[in-house]
Amino acid sequence: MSIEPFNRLVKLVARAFYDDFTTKGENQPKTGRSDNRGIVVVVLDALTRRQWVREEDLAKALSLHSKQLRRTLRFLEEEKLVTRDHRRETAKGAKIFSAAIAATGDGIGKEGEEKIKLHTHSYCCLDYSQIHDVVRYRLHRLKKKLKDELENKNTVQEYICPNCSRRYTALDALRLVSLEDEYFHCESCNGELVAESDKLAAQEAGDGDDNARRRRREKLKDTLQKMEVQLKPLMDQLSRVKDLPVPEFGSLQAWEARAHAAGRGGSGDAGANDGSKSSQGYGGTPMPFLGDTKVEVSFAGLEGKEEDVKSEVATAPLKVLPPWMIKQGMNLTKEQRGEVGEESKMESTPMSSQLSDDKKSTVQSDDKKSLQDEYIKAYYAALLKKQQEQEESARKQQQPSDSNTADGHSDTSSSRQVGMKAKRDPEDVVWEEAQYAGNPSDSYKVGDLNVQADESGEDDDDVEWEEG
Amino acid sequence: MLCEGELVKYVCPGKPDSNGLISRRSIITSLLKYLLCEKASKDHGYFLAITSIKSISLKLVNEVRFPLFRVIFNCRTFMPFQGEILQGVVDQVFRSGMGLLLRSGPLKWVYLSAIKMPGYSFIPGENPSFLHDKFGKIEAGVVVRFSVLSFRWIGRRWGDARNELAVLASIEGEYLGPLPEVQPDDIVL
Repeated sequence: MSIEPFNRLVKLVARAFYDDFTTKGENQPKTGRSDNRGIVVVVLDALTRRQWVREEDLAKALSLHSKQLRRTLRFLEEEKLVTRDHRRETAKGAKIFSAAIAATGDGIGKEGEEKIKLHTHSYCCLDYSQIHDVVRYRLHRLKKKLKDELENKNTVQEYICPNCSRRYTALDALRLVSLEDEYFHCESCNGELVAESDKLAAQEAGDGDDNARRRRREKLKDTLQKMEVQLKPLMDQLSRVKDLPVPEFGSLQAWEARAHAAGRGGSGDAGANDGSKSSQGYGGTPMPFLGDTKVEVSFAGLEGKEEDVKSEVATAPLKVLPPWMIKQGMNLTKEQRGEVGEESKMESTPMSSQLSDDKKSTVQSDDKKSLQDEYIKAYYAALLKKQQEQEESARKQQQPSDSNTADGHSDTSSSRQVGMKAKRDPEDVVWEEAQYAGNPSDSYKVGDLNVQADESGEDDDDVEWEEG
Repeated sequence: MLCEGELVKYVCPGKPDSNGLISRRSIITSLLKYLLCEKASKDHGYFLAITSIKSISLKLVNEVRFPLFRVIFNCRTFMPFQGEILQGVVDQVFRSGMGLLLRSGPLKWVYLSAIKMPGYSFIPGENPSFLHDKFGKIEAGVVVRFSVLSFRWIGRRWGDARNELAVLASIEGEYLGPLPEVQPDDIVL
């Protein structure tokens, strides 16, 4: 049982009938910023991608204020497009729901809330069978209203006195009924009133009325035609969906129980039949159970994670450092300088966060990465070469000093890149001197920064760089 | 359509008893009499039944008049709406062939014009009626399903009719017209 045609129907309905709905009242000012027309479209589209969902979660996912969302959902509930369920939950209950969501493989991966108090949670879900009926009824009423107006079905009957041409509506004529002959009599001349059809009324009425009536009929015809044309995609979708079985999610409790059972039974087993029947309530390929999505963010500053970071840094293969990080005097291998090409981790920094990505996305990103890596490698290789040449020339001019490295500062202008930060803080130089005292001979020694600055001025001709 | 609304009425139950007390029962009785006399109002329609008394408070006490009480109560009412589908019994078919009168629940003045009965031909005689080839005969005592075209509040404008609602009916449309299998007593609002 495919849900896609029904989702398309919901999307068409949202755009056809509710694109001008706003949660603001009529008297409230609608500025550009606060105008939220179209919110129904956003909410309904989001609900087509979900089954039973907690309203708070939906608000977070859509970046909407929960009050706004609740108002919209209340409106949609009145329109019979959405079913809602409200229940008081404990921490256990909320976690059960979150687990149920994870079991259906929706990928929301909401972790259980840490602080759950016992209060009312609201859930909502699209009610496809009702939507189907409601839309058909609405279209039927639209057409009927216009057709009835065109055929004057709603016109109140009028009576005319042939003697004095006085006109009465049927309600007025009712009180003028004579008890003797049961005719209506004119109250001024006592003549017998005659019922008139619309054609007669059109003929006998003045020009102004006739034109107005004709214009009204034409306007109604136009409206009916426009309606047929503009609602054609919706009506086509309705006819497509007419014979298909309607997807049913059931009540919140039933859905939760099913999803939970499916999650337990189908864990690690992709496309289990039981899972497809029990978990989602509708056919189609079920999502393979990939487990809860876990996000681990490691910050260097955090106490608990520091050791992990350090160990990771220590054990991970050496990364190629970008040139702006490479300073003279740093103890770097050729690998790190990017001279030997390996899997690039150029974009990684010591402050990297590790994500456990989806397998598919990792494979795809690796392909892209390899292309980028090669380009970057070549680029950095060229830069390094230039840097080396400059360092050699600088070394010839400098006096040998013990150690004077600057960590985190830009080296010479050759390593200066557009958009890269270049700090020149003399205080840091002192600190770094102490740190890097006694480096091995293969470290590059940079002279005084001021000297460097002059040298950089000399080397300006070699490197063309733009001032920011 | 049946509605339930909150109404406020002022009733004067009469003279207090020897102890200077007025019973709650007497207040409610006088309220019921008042509603029976009034029958209907423009805003709420016909009064059908009091469902609950919300509050009774003393409004006015003076030596000249009997005490006046303010009663707030919930009342079930019947109010017709345009487009509503109702069932009624034919009361009278006009011999002139102009139309017929129906009654439906508390509504006494429901007028169905001949022009709003497409396809029906008038058959004059002792017992005039309207006949359709497919849908049957409409004569006095027949139950008819109709839609409300329009309605009007009659205050004190008509001769005997007072505080009534006059309704214009129509049987143009699907599933409207005579219901020969339904008995007049079986009509449910």
